[in-house]
Amino acid sequence: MAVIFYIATIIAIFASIKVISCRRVDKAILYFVLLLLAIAFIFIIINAYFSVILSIILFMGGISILFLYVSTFLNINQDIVENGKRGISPKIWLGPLILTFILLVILIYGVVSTTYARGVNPHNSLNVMSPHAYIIMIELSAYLLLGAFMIAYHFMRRLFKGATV
Amino acid sequence: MNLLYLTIIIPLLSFLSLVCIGRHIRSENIKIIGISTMLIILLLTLFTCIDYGVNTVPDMTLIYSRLLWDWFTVGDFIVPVTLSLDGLSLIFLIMVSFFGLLIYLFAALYLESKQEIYTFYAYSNLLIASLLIEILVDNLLVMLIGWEGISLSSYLLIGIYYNQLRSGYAAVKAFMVMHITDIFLITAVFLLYQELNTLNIRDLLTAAHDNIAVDSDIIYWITLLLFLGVISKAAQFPMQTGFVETTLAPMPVTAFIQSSTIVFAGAYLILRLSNLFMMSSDVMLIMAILASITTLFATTISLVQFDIKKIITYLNLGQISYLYWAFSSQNWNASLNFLIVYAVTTALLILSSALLVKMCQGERDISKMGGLIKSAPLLYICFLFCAFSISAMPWISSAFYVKGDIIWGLMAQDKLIAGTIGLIGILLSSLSILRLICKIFHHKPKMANLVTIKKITYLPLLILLFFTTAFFIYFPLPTQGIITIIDLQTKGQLPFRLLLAAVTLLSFLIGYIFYIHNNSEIREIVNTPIVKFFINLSATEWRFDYWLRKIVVIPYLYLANLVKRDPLANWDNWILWSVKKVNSRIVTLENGHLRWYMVSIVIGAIIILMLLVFI
Amino acid sequence: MISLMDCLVFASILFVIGLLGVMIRRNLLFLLFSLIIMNLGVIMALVAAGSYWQQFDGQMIAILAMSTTVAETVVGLALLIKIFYRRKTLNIDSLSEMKG
Repeated sequence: MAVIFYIATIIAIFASIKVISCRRVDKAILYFVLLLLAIAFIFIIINAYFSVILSIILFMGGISILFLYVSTFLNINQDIVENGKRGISPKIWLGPLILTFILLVILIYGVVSTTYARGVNPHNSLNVMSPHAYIIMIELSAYLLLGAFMIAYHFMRRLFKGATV
Repeated sequence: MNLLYLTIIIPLLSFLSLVCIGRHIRSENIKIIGISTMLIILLLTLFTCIDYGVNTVPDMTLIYSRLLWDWFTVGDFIVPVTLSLDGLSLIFLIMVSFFGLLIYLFAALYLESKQEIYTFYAYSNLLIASLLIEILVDNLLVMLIGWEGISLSSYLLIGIYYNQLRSGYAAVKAFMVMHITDIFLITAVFLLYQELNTLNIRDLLTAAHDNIAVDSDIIYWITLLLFLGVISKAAQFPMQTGFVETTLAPMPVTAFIQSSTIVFAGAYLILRLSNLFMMSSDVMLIMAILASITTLFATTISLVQFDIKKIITYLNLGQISYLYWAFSSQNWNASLNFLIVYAVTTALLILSSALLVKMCQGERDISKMGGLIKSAPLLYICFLFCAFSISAMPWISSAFYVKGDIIWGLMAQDKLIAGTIGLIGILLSSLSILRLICKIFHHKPKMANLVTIKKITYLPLLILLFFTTAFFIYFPLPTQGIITIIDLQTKGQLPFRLLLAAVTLLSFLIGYIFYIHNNSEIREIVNTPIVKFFINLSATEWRFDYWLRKIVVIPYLYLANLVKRDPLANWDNWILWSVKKVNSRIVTLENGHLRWYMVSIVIGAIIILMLLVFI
Repeated sequence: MISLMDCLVFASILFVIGLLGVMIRRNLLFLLFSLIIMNLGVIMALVAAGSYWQQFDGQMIAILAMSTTVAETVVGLALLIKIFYRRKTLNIDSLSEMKG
């Protein structure tokens, strides 16, 4: 199990680095999907099946398709902003890299130095979906998504109206 | 006597009405208001005099006092406003009202432009009112009101031509000098209260007599501070500015300030507190020294000036010193006599020179006048009597007796240097008045187109002229018990008077040689370098303004510049400065680029996480 | 069983990589990718904590986080399209004239 977890972890990290550093959009989307798959695998390993389903539906089925749609719609394959010969220049990424490295070190130090107490009484409904307990949470996220879709709709509607007129 | 408070109320009312509506009424009416104010005061004074004379019992000091109201009360400390009248205040009251009326009359005949008339009468009323407050009140704190009123009104009077820059500056300068010395006076009053727990003058004098040792430190400081407070009103040497600046005011103002009011104010305070001053011989010495310096200063300057107003001013300044010599030799009675003589003489001198200037169409340079004896014989007589009075003409002028007494008092107290300087002062001042007369009235006529002056204008002059003569010497003054009368040694007084007469005659002789009988040897003497140096020095008024600027003004300005930025309040400026610096650095991060914001967020996150993890 | 510590380390690595991406990329599309990666790191941490303590709360918060991510992405893409139509570029720095 552990070995599989570490392999998945390495794949995920590699994929995410590729996502943020590559310059072609379709490649980035592919690596992104790979990242999502790796994370879903990790979720399965740590027994979070509900999250696996959700992430596959929402991220892979929703977000990746949206990205793909947008990139084809706007016809952008190449990152035309970063048009250096060999990717992004070190002048840009060196400072942030150092900062994030420091942050990472501190985070890992914080994570490692903490002692984790085991939960005393595990909840009964571990794998049982109980919407009654978390109905407000579910509603909240539903409203959030609804709001987001409404906003997106309004943006696009005005845009297309402006384009046609 | 019960109407005494009216003497203060009426000039105040007159002042207020003139200030409020003076612009809108005709100048004749303003003159009528002013003169009638003064007449009422004179009448009241006469009634008071008669009352006083009727009620006087021999060998008793009559003191009339009347409580008006309590000004303020703090715990046990009560400041009542009480009018009180005794012989000394009565003398001053009479003098103020008499000279005030004369000068008001003269101003009515002399002043022409409406603005001058209304400002002169308005502010002079204020001056009279504050002077009477000072004279009639028996509490030092209330007296200070009158004192400040005198400063204020002399500022206003000097600045009558306020739309000329020089006049405005002169007024401000006089005011500043007077106020600087007022600080000393106020300190002295506080010291007196701390020492004696009373501010009522009569109680204070008896308490001082009982409680304070003669020549102790505290009496030294009190009297020194009092004298320093009086010094600007007394126009003694370093503080004579207020006196000298009156040259920029119109002539009646000059006469008013120089002859009667300001000098009266200073002299009254010293006379009133004479018992205090008698207890401190050091201050008397300082007084004598300052008076000597003043005389030398003033008479030498007046000897070489050409502006008639300046000559007269410095002459008068030299005359005041005799008053302070009299104080310093504790010759109070003579000082009071001299004060009358001084007031009469200076008033006569200024008024006659005012007429002269008017006659010559505003020309003030005496080198451009000459030979006026035929066209203005009356004026010549006036000037001649001034000269008699100033030079102490033996047996003709009253000044001879008074000045003789003063100098004799000095000599008798072994203050030989001061006495000698007094004699030199008589010599020099008579020389300078003779020079003035010679330049104006003798030699060839240089002025054409003289303005004729109405005969009635001479009336105040003739009245004054009458008083300069020796008829009025040793007038019985009702000052018994208020000021101490010192018996002068009579032995050796006659030879001294002969000496004085000799000095006067010598001055006339020198004056004749120098200014009338103009020969070449004199010119040679005048052309020697040392004499030239002295003449230059005196012509520039001893470079007094220069040294004043060097010693006082420039260091003061330097200090003021130093503290202008308020260094004590600004010690924490570096906080503001560093906040600004940091701000200017941070603002460049707010450049609208997303990554910069992210960087700052990350730095913040790092700091917070470090705090969380490591602490 | 996978230890919680490993999961959290992995989550923080993901988060930091996303952060780096946000800082070094100027293309709005890649910015959105980076943001999703950051969010994935957070979700990972939440899910791991929930499964470690055998509580459903962790997964519940993860659901909320996921829907937030989706909403964010949707709105972000809508804005991206709008910016692309306005400015003909996806450079986020072209929007920097509103300083402060």
